[in-house]
Amino acid sequence: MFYYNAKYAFALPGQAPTAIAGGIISAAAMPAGQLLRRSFRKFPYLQHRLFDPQVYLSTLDSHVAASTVVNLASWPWFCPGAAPEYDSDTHTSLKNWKDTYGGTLLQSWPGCAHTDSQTISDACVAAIRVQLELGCEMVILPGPLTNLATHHFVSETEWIDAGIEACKALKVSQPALATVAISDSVLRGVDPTENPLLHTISNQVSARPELAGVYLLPEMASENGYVCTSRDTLLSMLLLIDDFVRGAGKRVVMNYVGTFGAVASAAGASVWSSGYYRGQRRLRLADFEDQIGRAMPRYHSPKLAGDIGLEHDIQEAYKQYGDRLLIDTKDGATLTRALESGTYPPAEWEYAQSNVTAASGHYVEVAYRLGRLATQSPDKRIETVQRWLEGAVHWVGNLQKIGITGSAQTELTHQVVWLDAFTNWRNQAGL
Amino acid sequence: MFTQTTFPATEANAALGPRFQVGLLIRSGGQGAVYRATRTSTPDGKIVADDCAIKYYFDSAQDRRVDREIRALEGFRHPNLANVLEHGHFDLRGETVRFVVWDYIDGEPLDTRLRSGAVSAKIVACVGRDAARAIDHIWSKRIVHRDVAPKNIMLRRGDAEAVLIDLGLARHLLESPLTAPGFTWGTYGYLSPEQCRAEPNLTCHSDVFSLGVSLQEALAGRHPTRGDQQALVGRPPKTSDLVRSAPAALAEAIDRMLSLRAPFRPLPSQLVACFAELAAEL
Repeated sequence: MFYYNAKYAFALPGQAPTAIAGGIISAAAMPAGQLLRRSFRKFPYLQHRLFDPQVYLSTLDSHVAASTVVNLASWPWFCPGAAPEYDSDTHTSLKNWKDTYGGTLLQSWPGCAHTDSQTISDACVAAIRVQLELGCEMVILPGPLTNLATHHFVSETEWIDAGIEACKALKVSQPALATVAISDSVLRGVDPTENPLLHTISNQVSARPELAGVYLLPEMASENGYVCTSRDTLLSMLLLIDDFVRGAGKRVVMNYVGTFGAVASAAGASVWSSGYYRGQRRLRLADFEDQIGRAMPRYHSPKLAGDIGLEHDIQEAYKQYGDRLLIDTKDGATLTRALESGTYPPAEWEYAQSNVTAASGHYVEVAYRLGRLATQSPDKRIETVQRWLEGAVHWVGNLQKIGITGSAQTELTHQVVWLDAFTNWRNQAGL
Repeated sequence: MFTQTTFPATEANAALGPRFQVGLLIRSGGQGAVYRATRTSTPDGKIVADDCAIKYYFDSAQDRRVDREIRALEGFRHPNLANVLEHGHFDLRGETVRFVVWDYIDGEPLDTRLRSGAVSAKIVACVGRDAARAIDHIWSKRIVHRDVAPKNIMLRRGDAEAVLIDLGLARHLLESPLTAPGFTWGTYGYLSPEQCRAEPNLTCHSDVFSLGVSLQEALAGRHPTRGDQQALVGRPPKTSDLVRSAPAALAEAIDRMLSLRAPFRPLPSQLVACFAELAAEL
């Protein structure tokens, strides 16, 4: 199933389908006081919501990621009692609250995940209590980022066990998911089938009957694009999913994976989450560093399993292959019509800064449709994804034949890597 | 440091004082000796008549392991674990001797029993049920036994119940290893693939694997790979290949315990339910 990775704005973009199964809200999106006062009623997809406490962002540097850190530090599992919760009656505006308490919050920011047992325990209780207050359908136990293989997942298991104890203390009835956030720095260059860290992670998590599942996140420290291009990272994810789901009978919710989520779904993940913006498609700590930038529209082609540039490439591809690379979505209809009638680009798809409403709605509809793979039987899902990825690789070849090369706008390198990782996973799993 | 041959048992028994009437030697090895005894009063003077076993530790270098075993067991009262009654130390010929007093378990170790051949499928199911109960209990405290093997499973007289003993190698997850990196503890021939890889943070899955090997051995009357550890973690034999007459459900449960990938092994709590049902049926 596809869940929308909601950021600050909960409204779905463009004409994205309102039937989306659920959403994941993140702590970094806004200060505690603001989120706790927001209503979810207007957003049908958020009736099935998860809240990510994002302890894996604890190492952000407050000097270079100030705006994110202020939001995070307002939650009691990061900096308890550092500042009063934002309240519009008391503080008039969010800007006033940030002006008054921003400095204190930045100073209180620890810059690393807690290591003291009592503080970890208190942090878990606080993070779970908020999720209960928000009415989440499952509880995500907070956990730090795994970025050092030599630590053998020890601190992470301490967080998991503290989370389990907190669930008992708070009499939580919702299913509990352990956060497993892994930096690709400990995955790349190591054969995933022999990576002892992966063995340890799947062993530790699966040995805890109190856990219903795992909230799985790959941190793409080594990637520049929107999508993961590391076979080791992707195969690691698929092997972990297989261990959790087929091995231990747990469920997996995966976030920040773009449409690779559909591949994860074939491997057994029950939920995957993404959104149009780069920060919704991938998790990369460096992305939280304050920087000024505006999004540009990108057309996502499910046939290509990637984006195709709107400046030139989409017209070139259309001239040669007609609408075979396109997909009929509500927001994409104007683009298709404009290409057919020779009036490209329509205003909604003009390649201009922040002109992304239609592109966002289109992307989310594509993701929603890919999410419907979950309705297929496991065997059929695997075959569908195999054909989909083989088709995407074929399309890469077609585009290259007419002189289109990979670029920041047109993604032509990851498809063969995704297929390779998926085929390898099938071989390993014997499926 | 004393050895098996130099340990002055009579003097040690006397050093314990009049609260204990020490009887026969139960077993002796490189690390210590175990005697059967009766305890007539507790350290605080309460009159009792406890049938117990006293273990003396020869080597004071083992203190940290002894402490660990005591810590691991002190808070437990569980019918499928050996319960600690008291512990202490005394000086003897210039050496410090540690001792631990346990509930006496009336029965025999599974390895001794297997010298006379395989046991019945029903007894195997009972052993599986009780050892899994013990593993489940210690894992709920995040402790891994790390040395589950027939020598550490006691069959109570009557064969209907089993007790897991000797938590000397047990380790809590958050404790630092007493083992150098790259080395592992346990008994050769019963090590899980994770132990063979010397992974530092084991789980109950490891004990489940070792228990699976022990159950196969109990059912077959011989070690499934004749002690070959590499063969065991390369391709564990199928239970039905070892014992053609093994009940299918029992063989299947044991085979799942021997999955090479830890997450594919059943959890101890699942095994308790499965073996309890089998023990009732067989």
